[in-house]
Amino acid sequence: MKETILIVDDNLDNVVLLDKVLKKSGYRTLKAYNGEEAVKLARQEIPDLILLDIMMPIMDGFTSCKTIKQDESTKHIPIFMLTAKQEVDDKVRGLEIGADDYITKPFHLQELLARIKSRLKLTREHRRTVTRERSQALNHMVEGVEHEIRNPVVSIGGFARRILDELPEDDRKKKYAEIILQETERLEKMVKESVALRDLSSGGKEKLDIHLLIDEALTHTTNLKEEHQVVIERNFDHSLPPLSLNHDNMLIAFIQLINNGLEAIDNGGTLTISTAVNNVSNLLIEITDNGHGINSKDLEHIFDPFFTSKMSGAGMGLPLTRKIIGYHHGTISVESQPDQGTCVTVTLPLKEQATN
Amino acid sequence: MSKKTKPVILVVEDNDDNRQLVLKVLGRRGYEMVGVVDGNEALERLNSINPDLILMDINLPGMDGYEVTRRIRLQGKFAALPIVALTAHAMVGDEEKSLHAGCDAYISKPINVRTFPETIAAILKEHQP
Repeated sequence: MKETILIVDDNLDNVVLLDKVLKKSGYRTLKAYNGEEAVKLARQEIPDLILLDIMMPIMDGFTSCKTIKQDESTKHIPIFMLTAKQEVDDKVRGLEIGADDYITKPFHLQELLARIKSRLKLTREHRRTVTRERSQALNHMVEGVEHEIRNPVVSIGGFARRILDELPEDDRKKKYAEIILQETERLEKMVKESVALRDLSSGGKEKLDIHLLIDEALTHTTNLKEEHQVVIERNFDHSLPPLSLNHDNMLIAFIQLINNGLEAIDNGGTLTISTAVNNVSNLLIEITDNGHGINSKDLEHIFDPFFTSKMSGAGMGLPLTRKIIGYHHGTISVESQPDQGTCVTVTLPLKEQATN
Repeated sequence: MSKKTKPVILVVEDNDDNRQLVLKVLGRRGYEMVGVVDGNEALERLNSINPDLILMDINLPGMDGYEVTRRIRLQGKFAALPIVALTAHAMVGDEEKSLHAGCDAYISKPINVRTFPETIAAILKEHQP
Protein backbone atom coordinates (compact mmCIF):
# COMPACT_ATOMS: atom_id res chain seq x y z
CA MET A 1 0.00 0.00 0.00
CA LYS A 2 1.16 3.48 -0.89
CA GLU A 3 1.95 5.86 1.92
CA THR A 4 0.00 9.11 1.94
CA ILE A 5 1.49 12.56 2.41
CA LEU A 6 -0.59 15.63 3.04
CA ILE A 7 0.86 18.79 1.48
CA VAL A 8 -0.27 22.05 3.09
CA ASP A 9 0.77 25.35 1.55
CA ASP A 10 -1.07 28.46 0.36
CA ASN A 11 1.47 28.87 -2.40
CA LEU A 12 0.03 26.98 -5.33
CA ASP A 13 3.38 26.64 -7.09
CA ASN A 14 4.90 24.95 -4.07
CA VAL A 15 1.99 22.54 -3.78
CA VAL A 16 2.19 21.62 -7.45
CA LEU A 17 5.93 21.04 -7.26
CA LEU A 18 5.78 18.93 -4.10
CA ASP A 19 2.82 17.00 -5.45
CA LYS A 20 4.71 16.14 -8.61
CA VAL A 21 7.90 15.13 -6.84
CA LEU A 22 6.16 13.04 -4.18
CA LYS A 23 3.96 11.24 -6.68
CA LYS A 24 7.01 10.44 -8.74
CA SER A 25 8.62 8.92 -5.65
CA GLY A 26 5.68 6.60 -5.22
CA TYR A 27 3.60 8.35 -2.57
CA ARG A 28 -0.08 9.15 -2.61
CA THR A 29 -0.71 12.85 -1.99
CA LEU A 30 -3.40 15.03 -0.48
CA LYS A 31 -3.48 18.78 -0.85
CA ALA A 32 -4.66 21.57 1.43
CA TYR A 33 -4.23 25.33 0.99
CA ASN A 34 -4.74 26.57 4.53
CA GLY A 35 -4.49 25.30 8.10
CA GLU A 36 -8.18 24.67 8.51
CA GLU A 37 -8.36 22.41 5.47
CA ALA A 38 -5.24 20.63 6.71
CA VAL A 39 -6.82 19.76 10.06
CA LYS A 40 -9.97 18.56 8.35
CA LEU A 41 -8.13 16.38 5.85
CA ALA A 42 -5.82 14.98 8.51
CA ARG A 43 -8.82 13.80 10.53
CA GLN A 44 -10.57 12.38 7.51
CA GLU A 45 -7.72 10.61 5.80
CA ILE A 46 -5.13 10.02 8.54
CA PRO A 47 -2.15 10.54 6.22
CA ASP A 48 1.24 9.00 7.04
CA LEU A 49 3.01 12.37 7.09
CA ILE A 50 2.16 16.08 6.81
CA LEU A 51 4.23 18.80 5.16
CA LEU A 52 2.98 22.00 6.76
CA ASP A 53 3.71 25.57 5.72
CA ILE A 54 3.70 28.17 8.50
CA MET A 55 2.47 31.37 6.90
CA MET A 56 -1.02 30.69 5.65
CA PRO A 57 -4.38 32.51 5.62
CA ILE A 58 -7.39 31.49 7.78
CA MET A 59 -5.34 29.25 10.08
CA ASP A 60 -1.55 29.34 10.18
CA GLY A 61 0.76 26.35 10.41
CA PHE A 62 1.44 26.68 14.14
CA THR A 63 -2.23 26.61 15.04
CA SER A 64 -3.06 23.68 12.79
CA CYS A 65 0.01 21.76 13.99
CA LYS A 66 -1.14 22.30 17.56
CA THR A 67 -4.69 21.20 16.71
CA ILE A 68 -3.53 18.07 14.92
CA LYS A 69 -1.17 17.16 17.76
CA GLN A 70 -3.92 17.58 20.35
CA ASP A 71 -6.40 15.35 18.56
CA GLU A 72 -6.24 11.71 19.70
CA SER A 73 -6.91 10.43 16.21
CA THR A 74 -4.22 12.50 14.46
CA LYS A 75 -1.53 13.17 17.06
CA HIS A 76 0.64 10.29 15.89
CA ILE A 77 1.03 11.71 12.35
CA PRO A 78 4.53 13.13 11.85
CA ILE A 79 4.52 16.81 10.83
CA PHE A 80 7.33 18.54 8.95
CA MET A 81 7.11 22.33 9.21
CA LEU A 82 8.11 24.25 6.10
CA THR A 83 9.76 27.45 7.30
CA ALA A 84 10.20 30.24 4.82
CA LYS A 85 13.22 31.84 6.38
CA GLN A 86 16.17 30.71 8.37
CA GLU A 87 14.44 31.90 11.47
CA VAL A 88 15.54 30.03 14.56
CA ASP A 89 12.49 31.26 16.47
CA ASP A 90 10.12 29.62 14.03
CA LYS A 91 11.96 26.34 14.16
CA VAL A 92 12.02 26.29 17.94
CA ARG A 93 8.39 27.25 18.17
CA GLY A 94 7.42 24.60 15.66
CA LEU A 95 9.26 21.87 17.52
CA GLU A 96 7.84 23.08 20.81
CA ILE A 97 4.26 22.70 19.69
CA GLY A 98 4.86 19.20 18.46
CA ALA A 99 6.26 19.34 14.92
CA ASP A 100 8.57 16.43 14.26
CA ASP A 101 10.98 18.12 11.89
CA TYR A 102 11.38 21.30 9.89
CA ILE A 103 12.48 22.02 6.35
CA THR A 104 13.81 25.38 5.33
CA LYS A 105 12.50 26.93 2.15
CA PRO A 106 13.68 27.00 -0.52
CA PHE A 107 14.28 23.35 0.13
CA HIS A 108 16.59 20.90 -1.46
CA LEU A 109 14.35 18.22 -2.99
CA GLN A 110 16.72 15.31 -2.44
CA GLU A 111 17.11 16.24 1.18
CA LEU A 112 13.36 16.56 1.66
CA LEU A 113 12.75 13.16 0.09
CA ALA A 114 15.48 11.56 2.17
CA ARG A 115 14.03 12.97 5.38
CA ILE A 116 10.52 11.84 4.46
CA LYS A 117 11.81 8.39 3.62
CA SER A 118 13.68 7.97 6.86
CA ARG A 119 10.75 9.24 8.90
CA LEU A 120 8.30 6.87 7.25
CA LYS A 121 10.71 4.01 7.78
CA LEU A 122 10.70 4.84 11.46
CA THR A 123 6.91 4.79 11.48
CA ARG A 124 6.84 1.40 9.82
CA GLU A 125 9.32 -0.02 12.27
CA HIS A 126 7.36 1.42 15.15
CA ARG A 127 4.21 -0.12 13.77
CA ARG A 128 5.89 -3.49 13.48
CA THR A 129 7.04 -3.26 17.07
CA VAL A 130 3.58 -2.32 18.21
CA THR A 131 2.06 -5.20 16.27
CA ARG A 132 4.57 -7.58 17.75
CA GLU A 133 3.93 -6.31 21.25
CA ARG A 134 0.22 -6.52 20.68
CA SER A 135 0.40 -10.09 19.54
CA GLN A 136 2.56 -10.92 22.54
CA ALA A 137 0.00 -9.26 24.77
CA LEU A 138 -2.71 -11.23 22.98
CA ASN A 139 -0.82 -14.44 23.62
CA HIS A 140 -0.55 -13.66 27.31
CA MET A 141 -4.20 -12.73 27.48
CA VAL A 142 -5.26 -15.84 25.62
CA GLU A 143 -3.24 -18.05 27.92
CA GLY A 144 -4.94 -16.43 30.89
CA VAL A 145 -8.32 -16.79 29.24
CA GLU A 146 -7.66 -20.38 28.40
CA HIS A 147 -6.75 -21.39 31.92
CA GLU A 148 -8.83 -19.10 34.03
CA ILE A 149 -12.03 -18.89 32.02
CA ARG A 150 -12.44 -22.15 30.21
CA ASN A 151 -12.56 -24.35 33.29
CA PRO A 152 -15.16 -22.36 35.22
CA VAL A 153 -17.20 -21.95 32.04
CA VAL A 154 -17.25 -25.69 31.47
CA SER A 155 -18.43 -26.38 35.01
CA ILE A 156 -21.04 -23.60 34.91
CA GLY A 157 -22.37 -25.17 31.72
CA GLY A 158 -22.24 -28.66 33.19
CA PHE A 159 -24.21 -27.74 36.26
CA ALA A 160 -26.71 -25.67 34.29
CA ARG A 161 -27.35 -28.77 32.21
CA ARG A 162 -27.86 -30.80 35.37
CA ILE A 163 -30.37 -28.30 36.65
CA LEU A 164 -32.07 -28.39 33.27
CA ASP A 165 -32.26 -32.18 33.34
CA GLU A 166 -33.59 -32.33 36.86
CA LEU A 167 -36.29 -29.67 36.58
CA PRO A 168 -39.76 -30.92 35.64
CA GLU A 169 -40.79 -30.28 32.03
CA ASP A 170 -43.21 -27.45 32.82
CA ASP A 171 -40.95 -25.57 35.22
CA ARG A 172 -40.47 -21.92 34.32
CA LYS A 173 -36.95 -21.99 35.69
CA LYS A 174 -35.97 -24.33 32.85
CA LYS A 175 -35.73 -21.31 30.62
CA TYR A 176 -33.22 -19.65 32.93
CA ALA A 177 -31.03 -22.72 32.93
CA GLU A 178 -31.22 -22.81 29.14
CA ILE A 179 -30.07 -19.21 28.93
CA ILE A 180 -27.12 -19.93 31.23
CA LEU A 181 -26.23 -22.85 29.01
CA GLN A 182 -26.44 -20.82 25.81
CA GLU A 183 -24.30 -18.07 27.23
CA THR A 184 -21.63 -20.46 28.43
CA GLU A 185 -21.55 -21.99 24.96
CA ARG A 186 -20.95 -18.54 23.56
CA LEU A 187 -18.11 -17.95 25.98
CA GLU A 188 -16.60 -21.31 25.14
CA LYS A 189 -16.77 -20.44 21.47
CA MET A 190 -14.97 -17.16 22.10
CA VAL A 191 -12.23 -18.86 24.09
CA LYS A 192 -11.84 -21.37 21.28
CA GLU A 193 -11.58 -18.61 18.71
CA SER A 194 -8.98 -16.65 20.59
CA VAL A 195 -6.92 -19.76 21.18
CA ALA A 196 -7.17 -20.50 17.47
CA LEU A 197 -6.04 -16.98 16.63
CA ARG A 198 -2.96 -17.43 18.75
CA ASP A 199 -2.13 -20.93 17.57
CA LEU A 200 -2.56 -20.03 13.93
CA SER A 201 1.08 -19.81 13.08
CA SER A 202 2.23 -22.72 15.21
CA GLY A 203 -0.27 -25.32 14.08
CA GLY A 204 0.96 -28.07 11.80
CA LYS A 205 -0.64 -29.13 8.56
CA GLU A 206 -1.57 -32.52 7.24
CA LYS A 207 -3.18 -33.92 4.12
CA LEU A 208 -6.94 -33.70 4.45
CA ASP A 209 -9.95 -34.20 2.26
CA ILE A 210 -11.70 -30.85 2.16
CA HIS A 211 -15.09 -32.56 1.78
CA LEU A 212 -14.64 -34.52 4.95
CA LEU A 213 -13.74 -31.28 6.69
CA ILE A 214 -16.89 -29.58 5.36
CA ASP A 215 -18.97 -32.55 6.48
CA GLU A 216 -17.36 -32.34 9.88
CA ALA A 217 -18.11 -28.63 10.08
CA LEU A 218 -21.74 -29.36 9.20
CA THR A 219 -22.08 -31.65 12.21
CA HIS A 220 -21.20 -28.65 14.37
CA THR A 221 -23.99 -26.56 12.91
CA THR A 222 -26.91 -28.97 13.25
CA ASN A 223 -28.84 -26.93 15.81
CA LEU A 224 -28.78 -23.76 13.78
CA LYS A 225 -29.70 -25.65 10.62
CA GLU A 226 -32.79 -27.05 12.28
CA GLU A 227 -33.69 -23.78 13.96
CA HIS A 228 -33.63 -21.90 10.65
CA GLN A 229 -35.06 -24.82 8.66
CA VAL A 230 -32.28 -24.93 6.14
CA VAL A 231 -31.67 -27.59 3.53
CA ILE A 232 -27.99 -28.22 2.80
CA GLU A 233 -27.00 -28.97 -0.76
CA ARG A 234 -23.61 -30.41 -1.49
CA ASN A 235 -22.08 -29.97 -4.92
CA PHE A 236 -18.78 -31.68 -4.38
CA ASP A 237 -16.16 -32.42 -6.99
CA HIS A 238 -14.90 -35.67 -5.53
CA SER A 239 -11.96 -35.89 -7.90
CA LEU A 240 -10.12 -33.24 -5.87
CA PRO A 241 -6.87 -34.33 -4.26
CA PRO A 242 -6.33 -33.98 -0.50
CA LEU A 243 -4.98 -30.60 0.63
CA SER A 244 -2.38 -29.73 3.18
CA LEU A 245 -4.42 -28.08 5.93
CA ASN A 246 -4.39 -27.35 9.62
CA HIS A 247 -7.41 -29.36 10.65
CA ASP A 248 -8.50 -27.54 13.79
CA ASN A 249 -8.17 -24.06 12.33
CA MET A 250 -9.82 -24.86 9.03
CA LEU A 251 -12.65 -26.51 10.90
CA ILE A 252 -13.26 -23.29 12.84
CA ALA A 253 -13.20 -21.32 9.59
CA PHE A 254 -15.79 -23.50 7.88
CA ILE A 255 -18.03 -23.70 10.93
CA GLN A 256 -17.99 -19.91 10.94
CA LEU A 257 -18.84 -19.60 7.25
CA ILE A 258 -21.61 -22.18 7.44
CA ASN A 259 -23.05 -20.60 10.58
CA ASN A 260 -23.10 -17.19 8.91
CA GLY A 261 -25.01 -18.62 5.98
CA LEU A 262 -27.49 -20.40 8.24
CA GLU A 263 -28.04 -17.29 10.33
CA ALA A 264 -28.83 -15.25 7.23
CA ILE A 265 -31.72 -17.56 6.38
CA ASP A 266 -34.70 -16.46 8.40
CA ASN A 267 -37.30 -19.08 7.84
CA GLY A 268 -36.52 -21.94 5.52
CA GLY A 269 -34.00 -21.78 2.70
CA THR A 270 -31.09 -23.49 1.07
CA LEU A 271 -27.39 -23.38 1.76
CA THR A 272 -25.33 -24.68 -1.12
CA ILE A 273 -21.72 -25.75 -0.71
CA SER A 274 -19.80 -26.36 -3.92
CA THR A 275 -16.23 -27.38 -4.57
CA ALA A 276 -14.39 -27.22 -7.88
CA VAL A 277 -11.01 -26.61 -9.44
CA ASN A 278 -11.12 -23.11 -10.89
CA ASN A 279 -7.87 -23.39 -12.79
CA VAL A 280 -4.79 -25.52 -12.61
CA SER A 281 -3.63 -24.37 -9.23
CA ASN A 282 -6.63 -23.39 -7.13
CA LEU A 283 -9.42 -25.13 -5.34
CA LEU A 284 -12.63 -23.12 -5.22
CA ILE A 285 -15.18 -23.51 -2.44
CA GLU A 286 -18.45 -21.60 -2.63
CA ILE A 287 -20.89 -21.29 0.21
CA THR A 288 -24.11 -19.73 -1.00
CA ASP A 289 -27.24 -18.95 0.97
CA ASN A 290 -30.54 -17.48 -0.17
CA GLY A 291 -30.99 -15.52 3.04
CA HIS A 292 -31.40 -11.83 3.78
CA GLY A 293 -28.06 -10.72 2.34
CA ILE A 294 -25.73 -7.96 3.50
CA ASN A 295 -26.11 -4.30 2.56
CA SER A 296 -23.19 -2.69 0.79
CA LYS A 297 -22.32 -0.49 3.76
CA ASP A 298 -21.92 -3.46 6.11
CA LEU A 299 -20.17 -5.50 3.43
CA GLU A 300 -17.15 -3.20 3.62
CA HIS A 301 -16.69 -3.94 7.30
CA ILE A 302 -17.43 -7.62 7.70
CA PHE A 303 -13.76 -8.50 8.02
CA ASP A 304 -13.09 -5.81 10.63
CA PRO A 305 -12.53 -7.20 14.13
CA PHE A 306 -15.41 -6.54 16.53
CA PHE A 307 -17.74 -5.50 13.73
CA THR A 308 -21.05 -7.26 14.00
CA SER A 309 -24.59 -6.64 12.83
CA LYS A 310 -25.96 -9.41 14.98
CA MET A 311 -27.37 -9.06 18.45
CA SER A 312 -24.95 -11.63 19.75
CA GLY A 313 -21.39 -12.51 18.90
CA ALA A 314 -18.13 -10.73 19.45
CA GLY A 315 -17.39 -9.96 15.80
CA MET A 316 -14.26 -12.10 15.83
CA GLY A 317 -15.47 -14.83 13.52
CA LEU A 318 -14.84 -13.47 10.05
CA PRO A 319 -11.53 -11.73 10.79
CA LEU A 320 -10.34 -15.01 12.25
CA THR A 321 -11.66 -16.95 9.27
CA ARG A 322 -9.81 -14.68 6.89
CA LYS A 323 -6.65 -15.06 8.90
CA ILE A 324 -6.92 -18.83 8.88
CA ILE A 325 -7.48 -18.91 5.13
CA GLY A 326 -4.63 -16.46 4.61
CA TYR A 327 -2.40 -18.73 6.65
CA HIS A 328 -3.19 -21.44 4.12
CA HIS A 329 -2.26 -19.04 1.30
CA GLY A 330 -5.86 -18.85 0.23
CA THR A 331 -8.29 -16.00 -0.34
CA ILE A 332 -11.82 -15.27 0.75
CA SER A 333 -14.32 -12.92 -0.85
CA VAL A 334 -17.95 -12.16 -0.22
CA GLU A 335 -20.63 -11.06 -2.65
CA SER A 336 -24.07 -10.20 -1.46
CA GLN A 337 -27.40 -8.78 -2.57
CA PRO A 338 -29.85 -7.65 0.11
CA ASP A 339 -32.88 -10.00 0.18
CA GLN A 340 -31.25 -12.26 -2.43
CA GLY A 341 -28.51 -13.95 -0.52
CA THR A 342 -24.78 -14.12 -0.02
CA CYS A 343 -22.02 -16.06 -1.72
CA VAL A 344 -18.72 -16.61 0.05
CA THR A 345 -15.88 -17.80 -2.15
CA VAL A 346 -12.80 -19.40 -0.67
CA THR A 347 -9.84 -20.36 -2.81
CA LEU A 348 -7.04 -22.58 -1.62
CA PRO A 349 -3.89 -23.51 -3.51
CA LEU A 350 -3.90 -27.16 -4.56
CA LYS A 351 -0.15 -27.39 -4.19
CA GLU A 352 1.42 -26.88 -0.83
CA GLN A 353 3.32 -23.65 -0.48
CA ALA A 354 6.27 -22.99 1.70
CA THR A 355 5.24 -21.41 4.97
CA ASN A 356 7.41 -18.78 6.48
CA MET B 1 -5.05 -58.81 13.66
CA SER B 2 -5.98 -62.43 13.82
CA LYS B 3 -9.24 -61.86 11.99
CA LYS B 4 -9.08 -62.21 8.25
CA THR B 5 -12.17 -60.12 7.56
CA LYS B 6 -12.54 -56.41 8.17
CA PRO B 7 -13.83 -55.39 11.58
CA VAL B 8 -17.51 -54.45 11.42
CA ILE B 9 -18.66 -51.27 13.14
CA LEU B 10 -22.31 -50.50 13.79
CA VAL B 11 -23.25 -46.84 14.10
CA VAL B 12 -26.49 -46.03 15.90
CA GLU B 13 -27.21 -42.37 15.25
CA ASP B 14 -30.40 -40.60 14.22
CA ASN B 15 -28.74 -37.41 12.94
CA ASP B 16 -27.97 -37.84 9.25
CA ASP B 17 -24.97 -35.50 9.14
CA ASN B 18 -23.30 -37.13 12.11
CA ARG B 19 -23.99 -40.67 10.97
CA GLN B 20 -22.74 -40.04 7.43
CA LEU B 21 -19.57 -38.42 8.72
CA VAL B 22 -18.78 -41.32 11.04
CA LEU B 23 -19.49 -43.85 8.27
CA LYS B 24 -17.26 -41.96 5.86
CA VAL B 25 -14.35 -41.34 8.21
CA LEU B 26 -14.15 -44.89 9.49
CA GLY B 27 -15.07 -46.42 6.13
CA ARG B 28 -11.87 -44.95 4.73
CA ARG B 29 -9.86 -46.67 7.42
CA GLY B 30 -10.94 -50.01 6.06
CA TYR B 31 -13.71 -50.93 8.47
CA GLU B 32 -16.97 -52.34 7.28
CA MET B 33 -19.56 -49.82 8.32
CA VAL B 34 -23.27 -50.22 9.00
CA GLY B 35 -25.48 -47.34 10.04
CA VAL B 36 -28.89 -47.47 11.69
CA VAL B 37 -31.12 -44.62 12.85
CA ASP B 38 -32.61 -45.80 16.14
CA GLY B 39 -32.43 -48.34 18.96
CA ASN B 40 -35.14 -50.61 17.61
CA GLU B 41 -33.39 -51.03 14.29
CA ALA B 42 -30.12 -51.65 16.10
CA LEU B 43 -31.61 -54.38 18.26
CA GLU B 44 -33.45 -55.99 15.37
CA ARG B 45 -30.41 -56.20 13.12
CA LEU B 46 -27.79 -56.80 15.78
CA ASN B 47 -27.49 -60.54 15.23
CA SER B 48 -27.26 -60.37 11.46
CA ILE B 49 -24.73 -57.51 11.54
CA ASN B 50 -22.70 -59.14 14.29
CA PRO B 51 -20.49 -56.06 14.87
CA ASP B 52 -17.02 -55.87 16.41
CA LEU B 53 -17.82 -52.48 17.90
CA ILE B 54 -20.86 -50.26 18.33
CA LEU B 55 -20.92 -46.47 18.28
CA MET B 56 -24.02 -45.50 20.21
CA ASP B 57 -25.59 -42.08 20.15
CA ILE B 58 -27.17 -41.46 23.54
CA ASN B 59 -29.82 -38.97 22.56
CA LEU B 60 -31.87 -41.22 20.27
CA PRO B 61 -35.57 -40.82 19.49
CA GLY B 62 -37.70 -43.24 21.52
CA MET B 63 -35.40 -45.56 23.41
CA ASP B 64 -32.24 -43.72 24.44
CA GLY B 65 -28.73 -45.05 23.94
CA TYR B 66 -28.36 -46.08 27.57
CA GLU B 67 -31.40 -48.29 27.30
CA VAL B 68 -30.29 -49.79 23.98
CA THR B 69 -26.91 -50.57 25.53
CA ARG B 70 -28.54 -52.26 28.52
CA ARG B 71 -30.65 -54.44 26.25
CA ILE B 72 -27.65 -55.41 24.15
CA ARG B 73 -25.75 -56.39 27.27
CA LEU B 74 -28.62 -58.66 28.31
CA GLN B 75 -27.89 -60.83 25.29
CA GLY B 76 -25.05 -63.02 26.48
CA LYS B 77 -23.42 -63.12 23.08
CA PHE B 78 -22.70 -59.38 23.18
CA ALA B 79 -21.81 -59.05 26.83
CA ALA B 80 -18.19 -58.19 25.99
CA LEU B 81 -18.78 -56.28 22.75
CA PRO B 82 -17.17 -52.83 22.92
CA ILE B 83 -19.82 -50.13 22.90
CA VAL B 84 -18.73 -46.50 22.64
CA ALA B 85 -21.20 -43.84 23.74
CA LEU B 86 -21.51 -40.68 21.66
CA THR B 87 -22.98 -37.73 23.51
CA ALA B 88 -23.63 -34.22 22.39
CA HIS B 89 -22.49 -32.46 25.53
CA ALA B 90 -19.28 -33.20 27.27
CA MET B 91 -20.68 -32.83 30.73
CA VAL B 92 -19.52 -34.02 34.08
CA GLY B 93 -21.61 -37.05 34.88
CA ASP B 94 -22.31 -38.16 31.31
CA GLU B 95 -19.29 -40.37 31.28
CA GLU B 96 -20.27 -41.97 34.57
CA LYS B 97 -23.79 -42.48 33.30
CA SER B 98 -22.71 -44.13 30.07
CA LEU B 99 -20.20 -46.40 31.79
CA HIS B 100 -22.87 -47.35 34.27
CA ALA B 101 -25.20 -48.29 31.44
CA GLY B 102 -22.59 -50.69 30.12
CA CYS B 103 -20.63 -48.63 27.62
CA ASP B 104 -16.87 -49.17 27.46
CA ALA B 105 -15.86 -45.71 26.40
CA TYR B 106 -17.27 -42.35 25.73
CA ILE B 107 -16.69 -39.80 22.96
CA SER B 108 -18.24 -36.37 22.89
CA LYS B 109 -19.88 -35.08 19.73
CA PRO B 110 -19.34 -33.56 17.31
CA ILE B 111 -16.48 -35.88 16.55
CA ASN B 112 -13.07 -34.62 15.50
CA VAL B 113 -12.21 -36.42 12.27
CA ARG B 114 -8.53 -36.09 12.97
CA THR B 115 -8.48 -37.89 16.31
CA PHE B 116 -11.61 -40.04 16.06
CA PRO B 117 -10.22 -42.91 13.95
CA GLU B 118 -7.22 -43.33 16.27
CA THR B 119 -9.49 -43.49 19.29
CA ILE B 120 -11.62 -46.15 17.66
CA ALA B 121 -8.59 -48.15 16.55
CA ALA B 122 -7.24 -48.06 20.10
CA ILE B 123 -10.53 -49.27 21.58
CA LEU B 124 -10.75 -52.09 19.04
CA LYS B 125 -7.21 -53.14 19.78
CA GLU B 126 -7.90 -53.13 23.50
CA HIS B 127 -10.86 -55.44 23.00
CA GLN B 128 -9.17 -57.91 20.72
CA PRO B 129 -9.74 -61.45 21.89
